[in-house]
Amino acid sequence: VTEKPESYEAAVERLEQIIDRLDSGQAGLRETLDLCREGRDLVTSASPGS
Amino acid sequence: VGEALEPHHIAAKAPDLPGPFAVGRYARKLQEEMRRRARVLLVGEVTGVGRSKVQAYFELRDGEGAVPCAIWLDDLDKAGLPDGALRDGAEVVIAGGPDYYPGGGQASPSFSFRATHVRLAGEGDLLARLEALRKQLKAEGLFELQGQLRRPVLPKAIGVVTAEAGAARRDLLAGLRRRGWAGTVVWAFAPVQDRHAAPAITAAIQDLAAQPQVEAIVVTRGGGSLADLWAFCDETLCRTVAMLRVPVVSAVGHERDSTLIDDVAAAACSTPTHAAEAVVPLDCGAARLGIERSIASLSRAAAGAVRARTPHLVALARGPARALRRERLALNQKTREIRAASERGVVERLGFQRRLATVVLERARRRAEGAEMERRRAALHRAAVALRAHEPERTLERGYALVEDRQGEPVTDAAGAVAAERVRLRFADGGVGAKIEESE
Repeated sequence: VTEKPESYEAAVERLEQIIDRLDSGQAGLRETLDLCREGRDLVTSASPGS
Repeated sequence: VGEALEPHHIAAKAPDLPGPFAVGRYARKLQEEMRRRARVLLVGEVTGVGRSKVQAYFELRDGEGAVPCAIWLDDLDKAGLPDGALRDGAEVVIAGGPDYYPGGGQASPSFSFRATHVRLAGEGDLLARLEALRKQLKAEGLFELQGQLRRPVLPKAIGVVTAEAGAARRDLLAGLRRRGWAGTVVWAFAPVQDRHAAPAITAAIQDLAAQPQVEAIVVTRGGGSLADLWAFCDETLCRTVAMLRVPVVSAVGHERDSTLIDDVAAAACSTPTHAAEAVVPLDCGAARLGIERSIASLSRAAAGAVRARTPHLVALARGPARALRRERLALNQKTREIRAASERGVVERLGFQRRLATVVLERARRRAEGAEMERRRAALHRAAVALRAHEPERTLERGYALVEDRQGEPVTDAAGAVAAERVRLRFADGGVGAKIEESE
């Protein structure tokens, strides 16, 4: 389970890291699934009204 | 007389008269005619009394005329008059008739009223004459004139007609002094009893009335019989008084005496003392006392009024200061209220401006927040899109399948699949179970 980021800025910074990792093409399937799941959770938690 | 005489024929005869007659006979006939005339009573004042050896003679007169009179001494004695009663000035009634003494060789002829009886005139005789004159003067309206004059309450000068040595003068002065009067008396002394009195009194009254300072005239004398007071019933005197423009106060005789001057005068008094009260109606002494009492009473009343009003006036005097103080307090209160209201207004305006600023800022903040949220939302959307591009589930939509073990963990190699023995194949449209039978 991904921990809720402390702030929006932290969530965005983590999302950029996740996307950079995925864009690098070096992540395997398991890591990709984990990163996508973490990324979805961050988007959800950082969205306004969440 | 002429018809009874026998005429003598002489050369010169008047053409239209009888005679001429012999004068001696004519005189005797004249005497007879006189003696045949009716005997009457005459009343009048005796003047010019004289006596001869056989008779007394005098004139009897009044204001209109006179008759020479004579009475034999025998007849006079029979009359029984008191000694000296037949004197000048006496009012008498005589009985008799006209007589004529023809004279003689040496004696002069004369006419006289031969009195056979004489008595002093009684009240009745004089009253009859008085009443007749009173009716006449009253009918002429002479009783009203003096009464219409204004009598001064406090004359400065009064004229007085009286006898110089009479008691009336003294009594009048005493009365004036008792009134407390301090004016001027203009004296006009005159005889007040005899046939000379009335003309003298009349002249004195006229003289006083001509004095401009004389405001009222008193005519006074003491008491006496009506005969004694008869001068004050004189017609000329009374007419003069009635026509005067100066008020006349009469005080002739006593209460029982009523003379004609009383009827024509402005006021009739019984005594000189009463005349003093009538001519100076104001009792000066009493008036002075009254004024002094009034002054004292007024002073007391004024002092009392001042005392009674002092507290009120003092209170009123304090009133302005008290009112000023009250108004000052009220003004200060108003000032404080205005200041407080002004401060409240400032505070309220500040609060209002503050609230307005808050609203404006809040709106600005909301607008800023909205933009930030939108920016964030866009950033997250872009991140989500990027993530979605890398999600393995997108690959499943292109026909790929994902192998998972019983725990849902992905199986990424053949060895793992063999080890799992039973796996689950997840496609885009759903999953199916699968059994690993052999490895290649």
